[in-house]
Amino acid sequence: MGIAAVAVKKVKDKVDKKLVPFLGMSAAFSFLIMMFNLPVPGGTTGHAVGAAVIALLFGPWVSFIAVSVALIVQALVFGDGGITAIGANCINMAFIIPFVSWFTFRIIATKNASLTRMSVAAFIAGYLSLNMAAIAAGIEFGIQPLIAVGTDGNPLYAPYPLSIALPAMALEHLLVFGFIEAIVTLLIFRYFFKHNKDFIEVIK
Amino acid sequence: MTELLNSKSRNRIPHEKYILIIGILIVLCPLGLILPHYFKAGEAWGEWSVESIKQQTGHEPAGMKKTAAVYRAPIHDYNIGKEEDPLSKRSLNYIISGLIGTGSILFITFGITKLLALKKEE
Repeated sequence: MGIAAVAVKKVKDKVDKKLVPFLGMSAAFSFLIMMFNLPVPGGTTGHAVGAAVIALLFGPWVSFIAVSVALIVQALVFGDGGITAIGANCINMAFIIPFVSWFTFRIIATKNASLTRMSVAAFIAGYLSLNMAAIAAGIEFGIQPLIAVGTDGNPLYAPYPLSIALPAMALEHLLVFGFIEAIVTLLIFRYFFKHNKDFIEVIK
Repeated sequence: MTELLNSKSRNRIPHEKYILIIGILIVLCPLGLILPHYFKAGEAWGEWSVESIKQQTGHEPAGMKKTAAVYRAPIHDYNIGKEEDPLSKRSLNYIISGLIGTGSILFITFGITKLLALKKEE
């Protein structure tokens, strides 16, 4: 909640009529990207989030609000993730991804960098940020059997220990979903660079 | 004249194109249902139901069972129909869910931006 309050303040400072429709578009974009479940070996699925590119285009705080709205609608309307997981989901996907993406880009591509360098920065920003979020989620899953155990000794929530949860979450994102987020970030960044360069927050 | 047009277009993001992108994503979203179906892939890692965890480990996660009973989402699993509906029908329902989700999101974000704009005026 504290983070949400800061986010609202940050976004309020620069509520711009031109940007208004884009909070909605960004949230809708993230929501829809997360509907694209992709199968991976091992019988599970996963998805990209889109939060990395939203952060680059409109700033990490706009991305935080947009992706949080998408996650809340997922949980409340579609039972996806669940209400009890909204907090963790928002920290992983709406907070970690935008900020890792933003700072990764800034570190790799300084002002007036070439388009090639910025493209590399966007790709790595997408890849790295999604993986950081997946690792955070893996840790959150993995510590649950340690901190939430019933009187009978059985886990109350997620059942797998860190030694299983962390590699499971990290591997599928390092090998598959990280690249999807990276490609989505790269393509949309380049599209905006070509058509609406002046709006891209991260290169202002 | 072209200069004027250019400067004008630079000050405005052409919404139409982005609305089109959202529309295309909605139409294509059943891919997120169809691909896992053909590869026999289940839920995302960790996003299991109470029953699914029970099947995997032999133990029912008591805490989760309790919290799961508190609230049931109106459109469970992006499906306004039944779980056993054929893939084609579930795909259509998935698109409808995409539309409902997008609509809810636009409604909420519109509310947020209105609120923020009002506060800014104060």
